[in-house]
Amino acid sequence: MTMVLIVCSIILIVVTGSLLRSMSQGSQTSGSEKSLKAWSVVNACGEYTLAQMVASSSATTTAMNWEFGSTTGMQLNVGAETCYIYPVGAGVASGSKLIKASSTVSGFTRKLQIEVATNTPVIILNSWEYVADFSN
Amino acid sequence: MKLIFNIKNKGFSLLELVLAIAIFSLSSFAIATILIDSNVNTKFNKERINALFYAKESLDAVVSIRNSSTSTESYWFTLPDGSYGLSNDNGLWSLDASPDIISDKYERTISLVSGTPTSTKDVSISIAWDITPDRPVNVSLNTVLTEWPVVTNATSTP
Repeated sequence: MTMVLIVCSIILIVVTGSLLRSMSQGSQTSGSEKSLKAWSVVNACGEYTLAQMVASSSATTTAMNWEFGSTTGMQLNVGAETCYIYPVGAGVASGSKLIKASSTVSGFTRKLQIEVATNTPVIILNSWEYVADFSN
Repeated sequence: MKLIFNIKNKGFSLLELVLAIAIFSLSSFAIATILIDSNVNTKFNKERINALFYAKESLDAVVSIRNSSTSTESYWFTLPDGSYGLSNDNGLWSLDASPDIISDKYERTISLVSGTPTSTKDVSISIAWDITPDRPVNVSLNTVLTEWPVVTNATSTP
């Protein structure tokens, strides 16, 4: 009887361990995938905003056009995911502007902050940072 | 005359035996199923991590190809919309005309679609493979990449 109990216990431990390991790996891999997706989508928002800024300035060939997304912000669809571009604000450096974008994929959020020195005649970036939270 | 029944050595009835075999069979089946499923999931997770790595690598490679465009009407800008693969020749990435196979297992497809503004392209990277012959899966990454050299040249013109 004791032997039966010991053997059953060992089997139970092995099975439970195997199951828990599998579930843990699945959770980790799924988290990595969502985080990577959020990263690629938030990059899309950054590139899109910069492209819009440059396209606006080259179309008018006048003063810098900082108005893109400056009132309400906008949502951009990238594949099956979305990212959000916040209203463009003032950067830390004098005269610079701050682009802020974030993307959340199944609870995994990535935030991107780009400081643009100028967009006329060429666009010059002061910084391109992935942040935990926006500075202002 | 002494008549003694030894109850301890009575043995199993047929019903008990059938019940014991049924419980043992069900337990064995459940345990085997859990172990096999766990192994399949572990294999799948390992392959999915590899696929994610290949997807990230592919995205970096496409960014590198975009960044290497230097002329006014660059290679990246003139690429038609469609599906491509990737190849690496002496450390230099380039786009292939059709999806490529990595490690004889993963099929990599780079899809390019012109976006708005026209200097942008929507990029979709898909890594597809089969966990088992009848269980295909894939991971994908999507982003937007801008054609900077063209924009730079356009805006630098007075």
